[in-house]
Amino acid sequence: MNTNELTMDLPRNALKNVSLKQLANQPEVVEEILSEQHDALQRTEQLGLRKLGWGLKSLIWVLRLYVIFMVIVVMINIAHTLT
Amino acid sequence: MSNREAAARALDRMRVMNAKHERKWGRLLWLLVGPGILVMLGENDAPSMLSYAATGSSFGIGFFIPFVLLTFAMAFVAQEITVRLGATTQAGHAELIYRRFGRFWGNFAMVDLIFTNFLTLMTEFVGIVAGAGYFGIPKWAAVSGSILLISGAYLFRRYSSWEKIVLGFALFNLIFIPVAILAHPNWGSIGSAFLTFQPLPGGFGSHTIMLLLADIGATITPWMLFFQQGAVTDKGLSVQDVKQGRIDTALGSLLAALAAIATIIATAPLYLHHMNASQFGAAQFAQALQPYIGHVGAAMFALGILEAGLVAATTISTSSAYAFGEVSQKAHSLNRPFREAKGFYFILFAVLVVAGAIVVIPGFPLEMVVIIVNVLAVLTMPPAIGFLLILANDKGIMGKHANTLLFNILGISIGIFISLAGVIYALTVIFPGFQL
Repeated sequence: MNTNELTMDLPRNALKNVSLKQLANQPEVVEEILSEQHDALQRTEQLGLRKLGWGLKSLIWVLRLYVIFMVIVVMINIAHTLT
Repeated sequence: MSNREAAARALDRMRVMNAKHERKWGRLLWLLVGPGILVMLGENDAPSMLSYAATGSSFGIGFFIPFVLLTFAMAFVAQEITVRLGATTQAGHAELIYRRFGRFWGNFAMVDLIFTNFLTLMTEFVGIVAGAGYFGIPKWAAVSGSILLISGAYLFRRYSSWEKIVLGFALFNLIFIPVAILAHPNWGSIGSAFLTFQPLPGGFGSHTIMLLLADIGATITPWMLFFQQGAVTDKGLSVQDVKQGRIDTALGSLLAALAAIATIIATAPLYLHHMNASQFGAAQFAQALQPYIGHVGAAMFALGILEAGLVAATTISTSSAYAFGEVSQKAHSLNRPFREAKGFYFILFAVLVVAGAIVVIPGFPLEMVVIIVNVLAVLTMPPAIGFLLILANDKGIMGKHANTLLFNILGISIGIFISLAGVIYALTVIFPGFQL
């Protein structure tokens, strides 16, 4: 059930006047409201490692080496500035 | 998720549902905006505003005004992806990288984040100290006062309250707009610069490239990806809220671009009067501008730098804490009280206190850190863009919300553009005579 469908079933006044404390005492309501988020999180938690092909692996390595090289360049720049 | 955290998020969701049901679109937008505006105005931080000020005083009104607009358009493309990632997975950016790429690559991404976040946080305190210094407030008082103020926003133990308080502070960034008006700019030159990307006095020399890189670093940095995705998750945005998330991000980009362009315009008189202000600190900028924008304008400029540091110190320390919580799989939500998320709040305050303490050490080379921090942020960006695009195209994660061809073209172009800017910077450092 998406949030739009869910709102159709809830009484308007209940939506307006409910407090955090009241809601904390109604875990089943909380669960229903957040069901979409829970489902999404559950799907995420079931994800395993992504298989990386040689292309993607090389790309990530190149980008990593780029950062290491650039950090060295920045250090050279600092040394130039200080001297 | 604790009862309180879930109830707080559910309450926010109920308000969103109610606004949708009653078709109160203005209220709906008010409830759903936040992460995008915060991240963009948060990135208009002290070193960024100083970069824009250095740009205005070095080049006046010309190439950099439309260029800044372009960099914020790039920031929008990158940040929009984090909205979709957060809403689809309900997980933070660090968590997704660890989950999909493993600990080896995750650790690299975290080292980049922690390193750049900490350096940036120090520069925020430099901005706070410099801004407060203009009003005669001593360093220690500025640092401790700002930490107390930042802590105050967390006392509500609600993400939504924290968000609206920081949002209020962040909007203060727009103070640079009246400062720009006080500088009595030539509006014709501004219009012409937008259309022609001209003039660019001196061409693309090493100083221009350094400022170019610093201005890119002032709009696109790794912490922004981690912060916005974490905030989207903490706010509980769902895939149905992506449209509003986009509006939020676009609005943030626009406001931040306006403040950035206003800063360039405000400091342009220093260029016109041939003042070499490229290495000025915040307070020095305010003092140097005083003859052109008056006492009130200069005070507003100093206040703007102070505010920029304050807001960014809040968002950057929160992004560090989100990332720590996601990686250590410990509680990481602003909807939790301190006793339920000790590690999260400890990291948040520890980075603030340590960074603030370093800034008050006498003789610490603060100006050097300020200059280098934006450059470093850009140079660590290509791998972050790489991970972002791989995740955004991961059908296992994103399903039908995966990147479209257009967003891939834009994302890859941004990655290439930033990488090339870094390569050109490297060439100017290794071969000092290098010129494009």
